Amino acid sequence: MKFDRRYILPGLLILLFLIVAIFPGMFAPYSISDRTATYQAPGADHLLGTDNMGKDIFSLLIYAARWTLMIGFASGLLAVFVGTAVGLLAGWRRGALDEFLMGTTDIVLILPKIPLVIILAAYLGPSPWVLIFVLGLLSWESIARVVRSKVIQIRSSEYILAARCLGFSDCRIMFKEILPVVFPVIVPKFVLVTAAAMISEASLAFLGLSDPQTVSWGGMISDAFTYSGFLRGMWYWWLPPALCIILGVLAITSLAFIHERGVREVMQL
Amino acid sequence: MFGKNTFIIAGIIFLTLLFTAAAGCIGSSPTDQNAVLKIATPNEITEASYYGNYNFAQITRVATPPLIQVDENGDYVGAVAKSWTVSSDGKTWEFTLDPNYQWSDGTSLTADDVKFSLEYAAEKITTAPSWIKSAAITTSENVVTISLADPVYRLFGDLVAINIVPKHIWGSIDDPEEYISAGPYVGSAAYYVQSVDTNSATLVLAVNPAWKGNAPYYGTVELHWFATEDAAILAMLGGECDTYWKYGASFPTSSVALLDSSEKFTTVETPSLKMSYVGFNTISSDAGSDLAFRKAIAYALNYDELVEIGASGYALSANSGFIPNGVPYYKNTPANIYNLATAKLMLDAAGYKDVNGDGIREDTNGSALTVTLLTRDKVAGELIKEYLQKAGLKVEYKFASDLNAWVELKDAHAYDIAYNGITAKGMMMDSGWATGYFASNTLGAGKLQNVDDPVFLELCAKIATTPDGDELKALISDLQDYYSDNMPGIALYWSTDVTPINTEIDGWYISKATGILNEINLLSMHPAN
Amino acid sequence: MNKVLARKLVRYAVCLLIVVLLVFLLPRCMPGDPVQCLVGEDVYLTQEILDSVTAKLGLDRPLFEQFQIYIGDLFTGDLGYSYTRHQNVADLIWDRLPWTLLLTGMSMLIGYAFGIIAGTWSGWMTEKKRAKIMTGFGVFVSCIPPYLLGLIFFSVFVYQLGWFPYKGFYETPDFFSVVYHMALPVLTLALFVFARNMIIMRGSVLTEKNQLYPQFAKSLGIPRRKIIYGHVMKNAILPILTHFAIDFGFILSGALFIEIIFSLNGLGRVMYTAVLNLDYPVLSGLFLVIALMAICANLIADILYGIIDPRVKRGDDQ
Repeated sequence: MKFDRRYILPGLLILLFLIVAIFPGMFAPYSISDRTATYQAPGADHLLGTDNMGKDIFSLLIYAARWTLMIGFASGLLAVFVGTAVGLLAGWRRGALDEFLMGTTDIVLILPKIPLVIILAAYLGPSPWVLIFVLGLLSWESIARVVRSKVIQIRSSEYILAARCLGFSDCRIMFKEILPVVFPVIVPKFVLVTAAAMISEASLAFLGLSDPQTVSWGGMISDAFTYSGFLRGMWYWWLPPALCIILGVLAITSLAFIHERGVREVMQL
Repeated sequence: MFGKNTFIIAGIIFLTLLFTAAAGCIGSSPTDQNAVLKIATPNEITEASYYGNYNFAQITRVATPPLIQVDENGDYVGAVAKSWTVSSDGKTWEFTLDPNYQWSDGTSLTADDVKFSLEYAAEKITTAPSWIKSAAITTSENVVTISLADPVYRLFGDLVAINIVPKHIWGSIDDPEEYISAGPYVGSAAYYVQSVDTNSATLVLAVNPAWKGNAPYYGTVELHWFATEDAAILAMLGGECDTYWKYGASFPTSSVALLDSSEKFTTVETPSLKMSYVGFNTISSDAGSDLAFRKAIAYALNYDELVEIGASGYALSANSGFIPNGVPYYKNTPANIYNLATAKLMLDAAGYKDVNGDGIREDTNGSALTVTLLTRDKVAGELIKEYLQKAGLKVEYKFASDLNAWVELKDAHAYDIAYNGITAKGMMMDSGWATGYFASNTLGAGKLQNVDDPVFLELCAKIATTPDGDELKALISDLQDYYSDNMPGIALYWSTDVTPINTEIDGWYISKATGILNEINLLSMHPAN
Repeated sequence: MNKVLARKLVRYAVCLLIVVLLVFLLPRCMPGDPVQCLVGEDVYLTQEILDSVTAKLGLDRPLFEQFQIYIGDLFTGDLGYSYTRHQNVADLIWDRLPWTLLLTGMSMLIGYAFGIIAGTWSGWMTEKKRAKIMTGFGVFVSCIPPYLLGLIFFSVFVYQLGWFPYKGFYETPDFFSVVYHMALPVLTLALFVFARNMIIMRGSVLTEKNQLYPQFAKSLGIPRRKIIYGHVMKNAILPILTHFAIDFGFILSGALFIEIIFSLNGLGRVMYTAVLNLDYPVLSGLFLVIALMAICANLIADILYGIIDPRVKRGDDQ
């Protein structure tokens, strides 16, 4: 397969975000507990000024990458795990199990996610884990579908038949033969779930349903609004995290988009 | 900042024209029927329910006032009642009605309406105070007499929240908390509620034709509510509304800088009854019940910074007597001082020394001195945590994300130190002078109830049953000494209320309890010049 | 009644049952007093009222009996009582629902119409620069959290430029006032609907384009406009329908945020207030109603799908 140059820009951006998220200390000039004068405008000492507590906004932006990406990727991974398992089982076994699993998929599809997260967060208290679990456990339906149709497509192909005739166990065939084939269709779905989770995190933070002890981009925007950053015209407080979310999501979706070459169902979130 | 000067100037010219036009009409009648005063507020009325919606009740207080109201100094002055007397045993209260107050539908307001309103509240309203249920209320001409079973000296604190409503309207409504109507609501003051619309988020107050007092200038007063505080403030800055009001709260202090940079607005700062403090668990915590520890911590807190960051500078650093200087019978006690070195020395002296040299002090048993810090406020919590760590304590940080989590933790005394706020209303709750927040025998979600010292509880009981006067003054002096000597809580700062003032309007009158939305202000406001 | 639809109906019924079970079990399985979890946090109630709630909901009885009572209540349209707002939850939602549906409905109408047309166009003209810009714009918009765009629009178009009003559904309850007040919120939400549908439609048209019939039609001399908007669009529209149901949930969630920013007193505001006050009866009722609406949206999509695509009518399974 020829390497597509269009992967480079979004790929680099995500790589940068990931490096920043893993080693924030290398990039942040201050720690998240350092404080100086409050509400400073951007300057040489503080690239993006300081917030209501006198914390360096640029440093917060860097430390916030970790939780935001964590919520995104953890939801994506969980969705991939459940979706692939359901899709493989349904496609391989067919019959009643298929019927049952696809029925479940239909049901999961219908549940309104954001309202469900809101009601759960109200009862259980806001926590990134609630978000990860709800988004992860409710976003696998499109993954299950593509995996299932791919499995149905290849299960009757000759090399799988050959493997079955050789008496390999179902499990072995699934992991050795089917999973590698299915993998490319999972990747774009995974990144789309990740992107959706990042947007959801930001939206819930706006409702005050984010854990104040974790620094995230959505939480930063929400803080900027709570502590007058928006009114004071401190665009350098809320715009950078907003751009990070938008750019992150954009990079992630465009990876999926390029991968599927504009084929339909790309934006199926 | 927003590049809005042209818009503001255009707005000013327009308003000036409007006001000059309006001024021409003043000669004949003091009320300009066409003049509209628009107030922006973040207090939404979610239902058009007079008794059911909390914000509706607060706003309509200017249309159907209680017997008495709170003035700019925090003292009680007459509203529907012109004057009153109280018997020496504190059981019999006599109120004489003010003849200026007449129902807007032409019916006259009688002592019977007052009797009805009090009994109606007792019977139908869940939050009515308990004394009212056992009180006997009698009327004769324009005098209402409330006879109490037990003396209640802090009666006025409750009476300011009981609106006097027309018997001929509400008498036939069985479940007032569920009753919904878009208006008009018959009122007795200078204005009555003409309409309320939750879809347009507007409540309209119109001049009461039967009102016999001084005529207000504005023919109509409109309240516009917004879903977010930012939207309300922008509506005011953008010229959509003339002023801003929020029940029992200051203008958000972090946004005051905006008013200062605006040409149209100035601010008035008034001392508030609100304050912030940390309370110690003196009941079940080892460190919290150690007086030496509490006194040491009082030196470890950076009060100036708390004022600067927690209240954007709009507060005063407090003193060890706890209650703010605006409260009656205030007495001067030593100021709270931040001195980390002193705090460390005092902790050493109290036996909390860092013996193993790891930077964290050990308690008397030799294990690391760990304190659990409980907070509901992100900013203050983080600051206090930092101060405690600087003093060499290991801090276990418990952030209660909602009231439920907070109540559970504080009721279980699952903390050593807790951050909390005191409201103006809460300051005078129970026995008053913030005692309700400490006494372990009180009830309430917002209070810590962290003191079960019999000396303190006895003091509270005495305060509750002593009438105003020298004896009470002596008791409150004792109370402030108790706060100062025993430090069950440390006052972090006393808040300042900031009120935005539209310079195109004159005659502002700010009530200590309800801010600009009070009867006196509505009568005195008029365009400048 | 065909087979596929019947099977779908069973699935929807199961989904509804799960939602009902969730709403039923959540307050009852929380640590602490279930009465408090059922009446909400921020209310002070006398012991008599708490006792009457316990008696009415049968909280002192076994779980299954409680469930029977709960289902019985649901069938009579009783979604519980909000002690914070002194109102029946069902009345409260019923009162606000039309406004939220108006907001979402108008946004969907505009967003779908323009999204489908623009998507068809940009899918057909992939190589044109304008089509590429359009696609890029669509992807960009769908990457913005809805509330953020709402806030920026509020700041620019309401505060800075003064083109739109600050709040409310209307100032005086007449048609023009409603249109004036709803314009910006509807446009904001419609932009998201537009972006999503444009992208889906574009992808769908791309696949259709590569099939033989458009070439065939072209060779027959049918005008291009007629081929694109008559034949290709009709066939390519099916994925839009598949997405209708998922989108409905998404748009409804978006509407919740837009209502908060533009101070519109719809269901979003009801939910926001309930979150702030921890008014559990309202939160549960809202979730139930939103889920029910999502199911209805699915059902409508299924029926439409059957009408447009004859393969489904025959009961074929893909």
